[in-house]
Amino acid sequence: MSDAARPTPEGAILVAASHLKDFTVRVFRALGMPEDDAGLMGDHITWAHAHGHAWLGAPKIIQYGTRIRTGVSSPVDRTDVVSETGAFTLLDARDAFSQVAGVRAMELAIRKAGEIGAAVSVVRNTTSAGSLGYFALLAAERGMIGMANNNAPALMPPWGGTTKLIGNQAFAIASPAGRHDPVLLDMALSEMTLVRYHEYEERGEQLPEGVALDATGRPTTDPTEALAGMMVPMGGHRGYGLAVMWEVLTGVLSGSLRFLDEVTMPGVFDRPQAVSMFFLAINPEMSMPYEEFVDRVDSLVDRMHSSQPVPGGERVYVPGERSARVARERMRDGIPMPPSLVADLADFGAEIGVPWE
Amino acid sequence: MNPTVRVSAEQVRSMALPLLRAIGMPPEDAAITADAMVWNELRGAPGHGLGRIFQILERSRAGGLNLAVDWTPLRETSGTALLDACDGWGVVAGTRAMGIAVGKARDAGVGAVVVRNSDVTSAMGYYPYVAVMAGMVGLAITNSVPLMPPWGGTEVLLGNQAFAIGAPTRDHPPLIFDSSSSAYNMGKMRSAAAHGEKLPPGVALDDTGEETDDAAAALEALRLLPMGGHRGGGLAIMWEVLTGILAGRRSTTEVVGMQELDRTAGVSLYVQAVDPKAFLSYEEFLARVDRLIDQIHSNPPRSGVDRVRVPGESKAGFESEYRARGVPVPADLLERLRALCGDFGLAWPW
Repeated sequence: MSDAARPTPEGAILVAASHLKDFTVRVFRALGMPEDDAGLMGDHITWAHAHGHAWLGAPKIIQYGTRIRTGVSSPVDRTDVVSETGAFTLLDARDAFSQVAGVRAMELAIRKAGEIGAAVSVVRNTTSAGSLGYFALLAAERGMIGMANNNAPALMPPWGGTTKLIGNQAFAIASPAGRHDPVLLDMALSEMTLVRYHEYEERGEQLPEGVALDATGRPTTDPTEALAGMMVPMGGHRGYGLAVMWEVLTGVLSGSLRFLDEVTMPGVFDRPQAVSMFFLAINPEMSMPYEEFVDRVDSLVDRMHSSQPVPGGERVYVPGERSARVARERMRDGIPMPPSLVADLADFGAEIGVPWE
Repeated sequence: MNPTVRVSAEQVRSMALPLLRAIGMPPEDAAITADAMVWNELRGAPGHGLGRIFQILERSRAGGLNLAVDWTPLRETSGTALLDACDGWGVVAGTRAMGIAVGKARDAGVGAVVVRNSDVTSAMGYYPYVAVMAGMVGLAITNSVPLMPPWGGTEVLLGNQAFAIGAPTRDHPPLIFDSSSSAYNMGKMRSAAAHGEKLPPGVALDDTGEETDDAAAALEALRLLPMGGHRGGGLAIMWEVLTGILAGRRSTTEVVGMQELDRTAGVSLYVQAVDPKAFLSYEEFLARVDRLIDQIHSNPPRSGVDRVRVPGESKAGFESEYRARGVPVPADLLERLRALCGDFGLAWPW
């Protein structure tokens, strides 16, 4: 569940989406990023926070900013096309941010899919992707089915194993619809994400069974042990298997010097992360006129909505429906943030001469 | 316990091929179908093996399955194709679709093919394997007769949406991930019911829409839950977009199960091939996949686990044993095949 589904915490400050975006742009401009690219950082971070991925939103301004200040990530997009054919492109981001290089890669896949029907871009040597849904939606907004994957730093053992080896491999798939919002699946392959472990820890609650392992690989319900330990793949061996195949499509296929547990966390500032990404765009016109396709997606959504909910359930949603609704509200009314986060942002801004107000 | 007879891969093929031809499959389609049966028998998946010959016979006689299909794509670009399987056997549809995708990927780097009006697709892992044999990464997704409600709902609207991904290797058996989108597949559900085992949480609803741990009640209600809860539920919907919706014919509750012999199934497939040679040298790619597997293998196993495996490895274990010692085929199945040969006036091949 995203934070969007949770009540606004007591004492939260409502920050206008436009203000968050503007501040983000000013920060990255000040750190040497060209205006268009800083705009992409602002777009991504605001999108993530508005869609309920608070941990991938405003707090990342400080983390990504620190990556530039320590010199480990490049403020200038030096992304090179390494090789390409009619339906695919391999890019080397050379330590530029995924928020910039990833958009460039998805744009190339969208353009090629427009010509040839389906196309793939793969990026190596970039940073954590943030919200994968943002990239998949770029395709849906251009009338294509989009998919975006990255290989995350190691957070899970392989199934049956006991030491961290593979990421929880967040990925997203989006499809345009007609009357309805695009359908957007944006998920990770772990039963629970890090930010949830933190929340349980803060509330002093135990985790449910089956979502975490301790540092020795034994199941645990203690969130502190989980944070020092490992994640459990969703759906057991199925989620693990998928995580391996996503690694093939990202770290293996990209030719990156590093993959699996050699990919580092975004909060490690002494070496590049070496994240790889995979983007797929499919033009539905490979099969039928666009209008017919989106009508069919609408009927699929209607069919899901019409299902009788489980006893005590509210109603059936399709992927992305709730977060799109919350994002609309937040874009209009403001994004709730804890005062401590706003203070941290203001402090970081002050350090680099970018006032929060 | 049903006694079994060890049969070589060549013998499996020699039984399947003439029977499929006699049932009315054109030579090339019969060869594709027989090869897939051999592969599945070798990999310890007999449910997708020789027994399917009777299903093909019954479905084609009853009118649910068409054996004379023109496999020319309906639409094509240099990177994609749309194929109408005209109610033909799913294995032929999936194999031909992947063959086309591989051909496109050879030129364009990536090839994607969508199939409409297919019969049931059998084991999904075979289609990425077709790509793997051509040195490519393969992906295949299918929809199926509805078995799952959407997440939070009780009405069965989505198939268990099997999908498979494969990658070639150098020193290891190919990586083949093959999974349904439900927490349990039907085989596992039937086995739990037969052994009177309780289901773990998150596997099935009963006929009132409440979660149940009673395998018999779950089989009766046939409302499977997705793997990993809402995540798998979301995946099942996106897979329907890529199959039933994108293929432009039947979707969700319009898809029919294989038990209804006289009704066409209306299954859709999405298959894709990605040519790693478009990205890096093939040798380098294979070495990298091997390195991935080696790193997983060297992970210390938890207690009770003999060693850590990669997707497809258990089935590859069957394959090396069965290639050496033969596939165990139930004696009564051999008898039925022998009788069928007699019906068609075919000599027993061995």
